[in-house]
Amino acid sequence: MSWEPILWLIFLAINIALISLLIYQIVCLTDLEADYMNPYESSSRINSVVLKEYVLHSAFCILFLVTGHWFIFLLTLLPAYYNVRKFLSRQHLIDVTEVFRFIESEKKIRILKLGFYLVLFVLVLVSLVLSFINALVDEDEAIDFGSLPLPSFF
Amino acid sequence: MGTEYPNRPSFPSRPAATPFGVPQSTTPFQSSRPVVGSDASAFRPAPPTSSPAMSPPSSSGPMVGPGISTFRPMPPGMPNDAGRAPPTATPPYGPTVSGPFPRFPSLQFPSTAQVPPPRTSMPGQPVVAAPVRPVSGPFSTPPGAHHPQIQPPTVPMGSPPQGANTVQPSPHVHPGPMQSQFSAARATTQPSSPLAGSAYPAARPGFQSGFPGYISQQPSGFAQAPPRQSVPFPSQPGGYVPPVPAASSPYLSQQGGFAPPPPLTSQRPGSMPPTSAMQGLVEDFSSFSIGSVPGSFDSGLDSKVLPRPIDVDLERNVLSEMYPMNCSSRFLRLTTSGIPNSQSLASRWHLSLGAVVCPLAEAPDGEEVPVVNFAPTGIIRCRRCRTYVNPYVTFTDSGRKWRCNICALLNEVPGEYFAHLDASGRRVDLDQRPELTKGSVEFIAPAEYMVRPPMPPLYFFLIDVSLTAVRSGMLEVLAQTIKNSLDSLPGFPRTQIGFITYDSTVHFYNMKSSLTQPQMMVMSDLEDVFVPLPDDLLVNLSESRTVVDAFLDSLPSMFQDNVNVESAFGPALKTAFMVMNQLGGKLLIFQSSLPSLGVGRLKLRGDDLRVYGTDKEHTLRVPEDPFYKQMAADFTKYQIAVNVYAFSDKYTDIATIGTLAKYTGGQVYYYPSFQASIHKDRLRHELTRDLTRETAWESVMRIRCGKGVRFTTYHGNFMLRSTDLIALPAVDCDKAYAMQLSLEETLLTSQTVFFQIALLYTSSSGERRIRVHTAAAPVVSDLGEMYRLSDTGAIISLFTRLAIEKTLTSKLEEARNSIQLRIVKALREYRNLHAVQHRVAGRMIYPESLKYLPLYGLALCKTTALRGGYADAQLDERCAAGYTMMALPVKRLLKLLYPKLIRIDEYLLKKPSSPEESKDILKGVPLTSESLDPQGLYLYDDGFRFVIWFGRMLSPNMIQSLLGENFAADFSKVSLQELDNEMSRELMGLLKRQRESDRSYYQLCHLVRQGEQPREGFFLLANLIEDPVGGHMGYQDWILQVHRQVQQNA
Repeated sequence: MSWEPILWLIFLAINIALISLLIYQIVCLTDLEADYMNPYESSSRINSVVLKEYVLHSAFCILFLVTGHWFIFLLTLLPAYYNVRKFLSRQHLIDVTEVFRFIESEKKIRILKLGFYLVLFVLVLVSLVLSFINALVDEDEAIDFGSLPLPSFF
Repeated sequence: MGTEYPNRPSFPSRPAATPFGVPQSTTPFQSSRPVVGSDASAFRPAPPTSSPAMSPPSSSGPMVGPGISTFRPMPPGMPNDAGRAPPTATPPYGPTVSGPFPRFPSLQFPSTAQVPPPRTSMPGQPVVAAPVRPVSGPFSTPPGAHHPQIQPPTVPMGSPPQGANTVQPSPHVHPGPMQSQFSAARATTQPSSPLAGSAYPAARPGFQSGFPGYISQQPSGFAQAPPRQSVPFPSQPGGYVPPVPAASSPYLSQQGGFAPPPPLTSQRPGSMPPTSAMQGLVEDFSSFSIGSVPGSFDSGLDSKVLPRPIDVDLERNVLSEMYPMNCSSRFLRLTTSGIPNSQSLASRWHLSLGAVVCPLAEAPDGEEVPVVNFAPTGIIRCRRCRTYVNPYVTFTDSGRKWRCNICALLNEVPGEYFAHLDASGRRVDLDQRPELTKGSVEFIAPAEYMVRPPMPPLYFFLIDVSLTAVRSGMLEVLAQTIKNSLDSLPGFPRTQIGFITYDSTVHFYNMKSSLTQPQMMVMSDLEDVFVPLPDDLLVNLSESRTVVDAFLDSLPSMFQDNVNVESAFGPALKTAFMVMNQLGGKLLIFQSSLPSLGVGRLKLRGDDLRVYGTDKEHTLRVPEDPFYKQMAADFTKYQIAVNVYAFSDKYTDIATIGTLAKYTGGQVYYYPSFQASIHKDRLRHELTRDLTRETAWESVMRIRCGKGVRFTTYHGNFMLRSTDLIALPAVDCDKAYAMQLSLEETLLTSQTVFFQIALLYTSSSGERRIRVHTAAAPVVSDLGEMYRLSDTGAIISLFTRLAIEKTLTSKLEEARNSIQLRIVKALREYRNLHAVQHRVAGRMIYPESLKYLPLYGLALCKTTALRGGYADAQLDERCAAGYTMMALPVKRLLKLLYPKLIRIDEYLLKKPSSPEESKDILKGVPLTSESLDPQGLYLYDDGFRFVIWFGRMLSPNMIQSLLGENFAADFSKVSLQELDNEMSRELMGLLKRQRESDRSYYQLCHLVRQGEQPREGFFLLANLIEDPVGGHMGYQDWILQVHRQVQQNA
C-alpha cells in the first residue's frame, strides 16, 4: 500500500506543472493585451508550451486510467477531448497574425482550464493526505472511507 | 508538377474582374477642406484671457455656424445664417455665463450675416426668451446651444440670465467685458471639451428631453423656452414656415427643456413624458427636409422610383460643415457621425459603429497636407494620452497651458511654442500654425520616433521564371516595365533594388556596381536555404544602374527556353526574406504556378463542387499551410510589405499565397490566364503605379479617440502590433482600413467625441514623419439623428470587410444573409421610429442618408467575392477579389459595387464640344438589361475593367469605324485600337478620360456583342446587378423581400 501516497504525489506534481503552464500562458496573454509584450514573443512563448501542456495532460489522464481512478479519469477526459479536437483541427497554436481577434476567447478557455485544474488540485491533495494517513496507520485502524464525504473511488 | 491540374482545365479568359492597381504616382497628401480661418478659430472655445477686442470669428460665433448647419435637418426653409447664428450664440452662453451680455456680442461677430437677424428679434422681444428662441425655433440648432451649457449650469446662475437677455440687445455693443466673463465661464465649466459643446449643440435639439442624463443637467441650465418663443420663429425664418405649425408644439415643449433655467422643474415634467411623441414629430420634420423619403411601393413596385446612385457623389460632408476643422472625408469616414451617447442607443444601431480610414488618400491639387516642423520644441503632445496638438485643443491661462481635447488633461505649453492669446482666446499666431487650424497635418518627427535611421525605399523582386511565366509573355512585359520605371522609383538616390528568380531552383544575381554584367548564382538545395553574397544581392540603384539595366535586358532571353514547370516558391521566399530583413522594404512576387517544391508547397486542393454548401466550404478560402502566415508575420516584423502578382491560368491557391499580402499591408493583383498580347497594358500600368506611387515605409498607425469610446476590431490588410497599433510596412494612397467602435461606458457625458489618426512613417525621401488627422463628431442621444448623420459609403465599406471575413469562417450564403439581416434590422428600427406617427403601411421608409443602402447591400452579395456558389466564380478569382476589396477605399469600392453603365453611341455621333454637354449626354443608366437598347453602344466601367457592349442593331458603320477590319471578327480576339477616324479617336479619348479619373487600376477593355454567349453573360449580364441572375434576386425583388422582412415583427 505504500505506493499509493507516492502515486498521489506524482499526480500532485503533474497537476502543479499543468497549473503553472496555464498561468504562464495566461500571463503571456494579459501581457500582450496590456502591450507589455509584442505578439511575436507572446505567441511564440505560448506556442512553445502548448504541446507540453497537452502531453502532460494526456499523461495525467492515462495515469488515472491505469491506476483505476475512474472518477477523476472521467473528469480529466473533458479537457482531453478539447485538446484533441484543437490539435486535430490544427488550431492548438496561437496564430500570431490574428492573435488580437482571438485573445479574449483564448484567455477565457485558459482560465476555465485553470479553474478545472485547481479543483483537481484540491481533490488530489485531499486524496494524498488520506493515502498518507492510510499508509501510516495500521491496517486495522484504517479510516473507513465509506464514512467520509469523499467517495471511495479516490 | 505543381503546374498541371488535370481537373481544372483552364480558366475562361476572364479579364480579372478583380482588382488590379494602376500605377500612378500621386502624392497622397492633402489637406482637409478649405476652412475659413475665421471659422476654425471660432470653434476654439477657450478664451481664457479676455481681451477687450473681440474678433468676429471669435469663440462662440463661429461654432454656431457650423454646428447649426449640420444639424439643421431642413434645408428648404431655413434661412441659414440668420437662423443659426442667433440661436446658438445666445442659448449656450447665456445660461452658462452669468452675464448674458457677453455672449451676444460674441455671437454676432462671427458670421456677419447671422448677426443682424437676431438682433432685430431681440429688441422686439424684451424677454430673454426671444433671442434665445429664434435659435431653438429653427429646430435643431437650439438644442445644441444647450448642450454646451450643460456642464456650466451651476456656474451660470442661470435663471436670471434670461432677464438679462432682454437687456442684451444692447450688449452687443459692449462685448469686451462680457466676453471675458464668458470665456472664463467656459473655461471653468467645460473642462473636457469646450469646443465640442459649442459646436455640437445644434445636433441635439429636440431629443435631449429623451435622455434622462442630459435632461437633468441641462434643465437647470437652460430651463425652458416658453411658448413665446414661437414668436421669434416667425420673425426669423420665413422659410420655416411650413413646418412650424406642427412643430411648434413639440418644439416648445422640448425647448422648454433647454430654455431658460428657472422652470426646470416645471418643464421637466412636461417634456419628459411626451418625449417619445415629440421625437416622432421632430423626426418628421427632419424627414421633410433631409429626412426619410418614404417611397411607396405596393405590390406592384415601380422600379423607376427605386433609388440608384447614378451620377451622384456619395461623399457626405455633413461633418465638415459641422466641424470645419475636421480632416477631409477622404481620410476618415464614420459610419455615422452621430456617436450614440449610451450603450442602449448603440445597441439599437444595427449598421455597425465604425470608421474607414485612408490615411494617405490622394488630395487634389492645392489641398496638400501642410508639413510642420517642431524642430526645437519637439512635437507637442498630451502628456497622458499622447494626443498630438490639433485644432480642437484649447489654450488657457494666457496661453501657458493647453487642454487636450481627448483626455482633458491640462498640459504646459513649451516656451518656444508659447504665444499670447487675443481677446477671444485665440492664439495670436494662429495663422502661422497649420496644426491649429487644419484637421490634417504632417509633423516632421525627431529622432525619438526612430528606432533606426530611416530606411531607404527598397524594391525586391521575386520572379517566377518557369515555363508558364515565359510562355505567357509575362517575363518580358515585366522586365520592360521595371526597366521603364527605374527612373521614377521614389527616393533617388537612396533607392535599393534586388532580384531573385526561381523555378525548381533559386537564382540570385550579384549586381555589385563594379561589375558590368550581373552574376547569376544558382541554389539548388531547397531544404537548407542560404544566401550567397548577402551584401551584393541588394544594391543601390543609382550606383548599379548599368548592371540592373543589363539584367533586365537579358532576363527574358535568359529563360526563353526554360521548360521547367516546378516552382520552389517557399524556399525562394525564405531567401528573399533573408536578403531583405536588414532593411525591410517592398517585396513584389510574380507568381505563375502553384508552389510545388520545398517548404510551403501547396496541394492542388482545388475548387470542389461537393464542398459548397457544407460546413467545410470555408476551408477552401482559408490558407492551407501555416508556413505562409508565419512568413507574413515575419515579413511584417521586419518591415517588409509583400505585393503578390498572380498570373496562372490554373489554380494557384490565391487564398494561401494572398495571406502574404494581407498581413503585410500589401495587395494582391490577379491576372487570370495572363497573355501578354491581351493583358500587357494592364500589367504595365498597374506595376508602374505600384512602383512609382508615393509610398510610406515602415509605418505604424494608431487611432485615438475620446473617453468612453474605443476601437475594438480592425479590418483590412495589415497586422496588429498591439491591441490598437496597426503595423504597415508600406502604405500608399490606395489602401484603406476599417475599424469598429464600441462604447465603453454606459453613458457618454461629453458632447463631442474626437478621433485622431496618427500614421508614423518614413517617407521615400528618408524623412520620418507623422501624419495626423483629427476629426470631431457629435454625441447624439437620438436614434433618428444617428440615421440622419449616417454615411452609406462607410457602412458598406465596413460591411464588405466583415462579410469577406465571414466567408473565411462560414458559408458564402451565411455571409450574404448577415448583410441582409443587418440592413433589415436597421430599416426596421428606423420604421419603428416613425410607424407610430404615420400610416406607413405598404410604404417602405428609410432615411435619406441611407437610400442606397439596400441597393449596395444587394450589390455586395453579388460581387465576385460573395456571389453564388461553385459555378459563379473561380475560387482563385473569388479570393483575389476578397483580398482586393479588403483594401479598397470607399469611393472605389462603391464604384465596384455599382458600376457605371453609360450609353456612348450618341456621344460619339454628336461629338459634344463643351464638357457640360458631354456630361449631359453621358448619363448613367440603371444596371439592368432593360436599359440596354439594341441600337446602342454601351460602356460598362467598374473601375477594374471596361466592357463595351455592341447592340445587335447598332449601325454597322459605327462598328466599322470603331473596329476597322475586325468588325466582323470574334470579339474575344479583338482589342480596341485607335483608328484614323474621328469616332475612334473620340472613343479612345473617352476611355482615357475615364481611366484618368482614377489611376489606381487600369481598366482593360473588353468588347462584347449582344447575344454573343457566353461572353456577354460573363462580362456584362452577370454584372447587371439589378437583374435577377444566377439564383440571386433582382433589385425589385430584393426591395420587396427586405420590405417584407422589415414589416415582420415591426
